[in-house]
Amino acid sequence: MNTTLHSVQRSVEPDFLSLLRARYSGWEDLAIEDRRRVRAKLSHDFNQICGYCEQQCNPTTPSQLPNEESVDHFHPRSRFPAEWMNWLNLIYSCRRCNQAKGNRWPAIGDAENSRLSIINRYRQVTGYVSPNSADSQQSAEAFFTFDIDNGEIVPVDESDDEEWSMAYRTILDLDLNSLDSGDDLPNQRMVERQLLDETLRQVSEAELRQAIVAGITQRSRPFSSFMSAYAKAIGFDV
Amino acid sequence: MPVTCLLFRGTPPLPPCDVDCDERINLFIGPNSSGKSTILRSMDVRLSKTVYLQEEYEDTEEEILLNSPHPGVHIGVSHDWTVKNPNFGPAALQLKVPHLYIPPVRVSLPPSGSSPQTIDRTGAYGIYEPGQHESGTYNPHLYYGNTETSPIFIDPERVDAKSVFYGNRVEDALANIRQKAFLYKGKENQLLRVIGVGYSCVRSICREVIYGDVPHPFIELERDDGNSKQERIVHYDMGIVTTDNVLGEPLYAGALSSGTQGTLLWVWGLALHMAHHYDQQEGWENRPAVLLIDEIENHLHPTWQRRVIPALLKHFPKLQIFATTHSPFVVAGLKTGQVHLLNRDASGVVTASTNEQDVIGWTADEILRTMMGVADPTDEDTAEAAAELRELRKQLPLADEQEEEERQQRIQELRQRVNRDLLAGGPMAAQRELFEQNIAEILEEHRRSRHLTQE
Repeated sequence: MNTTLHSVQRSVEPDFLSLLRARYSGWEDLAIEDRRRVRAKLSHDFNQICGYCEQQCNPTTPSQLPNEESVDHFHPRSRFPAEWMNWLNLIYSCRRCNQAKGNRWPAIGDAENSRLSIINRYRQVTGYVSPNSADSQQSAEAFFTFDIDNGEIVPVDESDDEEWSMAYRTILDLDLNSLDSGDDLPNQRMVERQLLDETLRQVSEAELRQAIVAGITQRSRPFSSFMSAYAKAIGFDV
Repeated sequence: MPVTCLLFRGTPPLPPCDVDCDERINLFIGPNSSGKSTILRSMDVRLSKTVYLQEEYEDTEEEILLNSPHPGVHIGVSHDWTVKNPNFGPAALQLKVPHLYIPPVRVSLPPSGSSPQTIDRTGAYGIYEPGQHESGTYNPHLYYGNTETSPIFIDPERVDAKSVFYGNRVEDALANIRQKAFLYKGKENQLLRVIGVGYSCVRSICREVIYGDVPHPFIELERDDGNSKQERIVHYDMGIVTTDNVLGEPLYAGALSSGTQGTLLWVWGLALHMAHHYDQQEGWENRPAVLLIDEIENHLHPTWQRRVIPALLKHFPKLQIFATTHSPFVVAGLKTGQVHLLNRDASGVVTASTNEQDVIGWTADEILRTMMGVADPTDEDTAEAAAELRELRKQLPLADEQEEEERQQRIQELRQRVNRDLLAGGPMAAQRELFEQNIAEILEEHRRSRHLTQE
């Protein structure tokens, strides 16, 4: 199957998390240094790549740019208060995705589920696709693929209706094809593709070309899923 | 074709240089005191001397160079812009297009503090400076005073729309004309027409500048009580009525926002100047004219700044504009050859150059960085931090361990203050920089692994 969104192999929960759970009663109370500590640990797990849109986050942005790093609660803490410091519930995310997701969580019969039911394939969903590979659901790779000619992420056509709907809803709610100015993800993916083309044009040695493609499609590089899809399309083995 | 070239010969701080002009819009940008206003003022003076004797011009196939033995700017104009004037000798030429110079200060506030006169809002609008007909200089001032003392300037020798209109509100001006009807002897209708025609044109321009293409309720007000008299329409349809209009009261120009005032004043000035020059003939707004305007963006919010030039070019299809600006929003959207950049180098010498590519689709940041010399469009402290960070990153690691640690610490410190986009010079540049870093790492890894396998 043409599966491409890379999911993340999570490390074991760091020791200091239980300390934080004991010391604080909720995420809002966390001192800035502690928040930073959690973020730094997550950043290591995710290689500074947003768990949702896969752009490289900026750890030191003082100016509220969309790519500033942040910590997202996969199960939003307003609805799942017990999970406020559950290690696997914490996702390294860019400000943009974090804000788009907000405290949303799909439920049977919610407005969006009802609205989307006019789509033939759509089945009501009760969650988003998790970026964690260890999660009980099938790993994220089975859900998404890309339209490599315009940089858009799309649900995998061949998956069953439930999976397809979950992917569809995730893309929609997280606005993974956002066209907001200064933050248009499809455009960024296409720029990345163009940069790779430019680089490959200058390299003729086959082994080196393969090494470049292998490197650029690693999970630790920005937009690696899209780049793998593209690399496959232009005849590389990834 | 209009003004084709400007040859600067002794207009400090500009060195002697030639500038080819665009037929529609010529925008001069550059730092303060690089000569932008000097260009406009010297053009105003040169164009005002409308008569040229034979020995003072060079005639080529395309253009006639309006030359002068005195230092200043020499202007090339096309043949069809000139006309022979036998009154000044057999070979004398006269420029037949009007020009208007608009200085950078558009709205002047009434003097503050106590005034010997009771301020009467009914006389809030008066803008005319006698004695400046000849150079075409238009110098708007807002006066506060009562109707009797506010300068409705009427020159019996030279009855034109300009001298009448800049009195009070339109209705007062018209009443004034009627009172002094003996001065006009049958020209009243003509005056009414100019004001009417000028009005509809100005209305469209101001409307486009201020509201874009969105119809605005204030502007859309029409009287439908069958009163079709021109002045009534002018009065109610001016686009400068507020909710007061419910009571049938007009809003006085002096009570408008300075952005609206500023725009209204000079656009109206231009319209009336052209209408007057072409004797109020039908279609005067389609005839050629030259507008020299200093700091065209004055008083305007960026969204308005972007609309000024397109609106003018659309409504006056043969207007040639010479303008200066400090705003990237005015520059955005211009084409090759329309932006003239003045630069002052370290030794103080100014050079002029013209843009060689369209500025269409550029962002304000890009224009600030590439054309206006603002390397980091942010506050000065952060800009300095960015500059220092770039320097530090360029350095090789220091030999001394302690010093190297300090350097790294400083880099970390600065990184906290400067975001990646700013450092790289824009989001696209940041993405490229990141990509190149990644490639460098990948190549380095590859080289190392190959080295290992060979061993």
